[in-house]
Amino acid sequence: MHSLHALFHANGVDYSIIAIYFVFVIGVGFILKNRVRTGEDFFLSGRSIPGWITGLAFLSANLGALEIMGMTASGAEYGWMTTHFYWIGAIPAMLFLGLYMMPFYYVSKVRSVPEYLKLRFNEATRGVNAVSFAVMTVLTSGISLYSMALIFQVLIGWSLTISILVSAVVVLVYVTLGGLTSSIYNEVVQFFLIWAGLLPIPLIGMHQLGGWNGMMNRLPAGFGHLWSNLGSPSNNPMGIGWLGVVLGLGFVLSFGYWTTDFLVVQRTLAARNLRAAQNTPIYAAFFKMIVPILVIIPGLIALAVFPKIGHTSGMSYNLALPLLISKYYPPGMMGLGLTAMLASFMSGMAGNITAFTTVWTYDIYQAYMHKDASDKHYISMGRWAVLGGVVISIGTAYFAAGFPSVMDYMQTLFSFFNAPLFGTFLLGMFWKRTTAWGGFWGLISGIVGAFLLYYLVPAHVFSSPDAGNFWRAWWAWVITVVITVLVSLITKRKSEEELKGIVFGLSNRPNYTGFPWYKRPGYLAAIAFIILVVLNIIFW
Amino acid sequence: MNRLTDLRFLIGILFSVYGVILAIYGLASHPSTQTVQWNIDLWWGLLSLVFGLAFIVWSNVPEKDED
Repeated sequence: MHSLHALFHANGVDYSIIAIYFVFVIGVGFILKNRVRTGEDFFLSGRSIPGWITGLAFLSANLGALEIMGMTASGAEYGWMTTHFYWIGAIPAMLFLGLYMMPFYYVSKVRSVPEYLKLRFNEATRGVNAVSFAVMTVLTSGISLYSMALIFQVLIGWSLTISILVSAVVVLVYVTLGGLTSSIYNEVVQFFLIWAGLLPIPLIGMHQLGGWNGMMNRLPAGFGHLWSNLGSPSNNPMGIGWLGVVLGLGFVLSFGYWTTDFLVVQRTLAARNLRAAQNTPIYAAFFKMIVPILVIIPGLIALAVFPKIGHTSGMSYNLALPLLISKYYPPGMMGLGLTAMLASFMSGMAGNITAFTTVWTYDIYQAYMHKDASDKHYISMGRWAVLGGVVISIGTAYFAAGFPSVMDYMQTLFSFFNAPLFGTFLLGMFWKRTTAWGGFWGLISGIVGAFLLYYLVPAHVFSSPDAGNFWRAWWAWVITVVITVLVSLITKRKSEEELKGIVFGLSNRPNYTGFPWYKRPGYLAAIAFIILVVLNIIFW
Repeated sequence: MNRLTDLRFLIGILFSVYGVILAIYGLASHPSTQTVQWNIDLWWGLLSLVFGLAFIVWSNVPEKDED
């Protein structure tokens, strides 16, 4: 990415479309400001949001611009196989969260994931998760800030400083004003903007190439399949086998992220009742399944249209999407496409900031520094935390600009935290014998185990970095489960009274008889699952 | 709930504005690229406008609390 000339030449109409977006998001912040009266309003949207809104926000909080560009790049590099990240690598976990975990998260009235850990285990377990999550989230936000600035430098020639400051300040303004509601509203707007801004690309591309079959004729063999090349790792460019995909990606990594990462779980807690909260990830699953149309198919189109991509300088896979935009879009549409990317970037950052703010305020500040302050005090602390989070993100962004490789390294390290956490949650929620210290030592051992695996097992043991991540996640999870069980068997168990409502078997299962089928989480999840299976068979 | 804080209304406004801008720009400048000869700005703009208006219409339906 060292081109001196920007890829696009945005003109007046493009800039007005971008400017209108900025005015819009800041305006939404001001409109929502009056709705923020209590801490619950600021940090959890007053638990009042309809399910379709939290569902789209749940999906979009994760669908940042980096993810979109990165997945398009993977589509061009590895083919349709990349879709595993959207199907088996997401849907089962989202349905599981909605059906089985939401009742505990929502009914226990916790305000964050670390708070659930405190309720189920102890203060120490909460502390470990709160601090690691807060650090990770705010650094991730800075890393994506830098990456986005880099993208906009390549695309339209903005300087790094302008991109970083403009986006950071806009996010700062709207999150400070409207809290989580601002963030959720903008995530939903972003969801629609992404479709408006990017859908013409697969439509035009497929039309030009003669449909799916026409496109496949121009691609390497096997680029249109999900499973048929996964018999052995050496048969596919990603270097993974089916077992790694199922256990590493489909089970541990996916469940670890979608069911325990507070960035996404926070959206479900904002829902207005338990049924809406359960439906949040289930609605999201339906939309998640169609995202490959927007990201993986453009990747395939890019490879068919630019056969030299990834092999000549100036044509990195990461430029797959921008190259298509500049080829297909006239002025006007280009503004819409750029706005979609800006929006998805900013809402991703806002998601990180709101999650960070809540964990900082409730799980670190209130828990360890200032226990019994007034609600007003915590709201104002929340607003300062937004400012703090944004300032640290800007700092991280400049740090990343100086040491890009350190950042890659850190992101790999972060990927270690969710797999063990999922082990802790699974046992904590579904095995009432799990003790407080069993949970704590299991979590710590899993994290330490993942680090040891990373440092002690040489990288060349794995056929690819993805394969390494899948297997490390799996073993970190196994370590957590084994240690949690062993320690639980020799430590003091919690009384059933303490565990009421937060553990499976000791709480009432929600009952939705009387509701029509299209409102019931069980039916909706079953339909989503059947669609998932059918899609996997069609694209086998 | 105040109309202005209704997300359906906000989305409706944004997409209607974008639709109008794109369609007018499309009509005025007949943009095309080497690959796409037809007036994509005009058609996509009209589609966005329809989408935005549909959301504005939808925002007239009061949201039921049980959802």
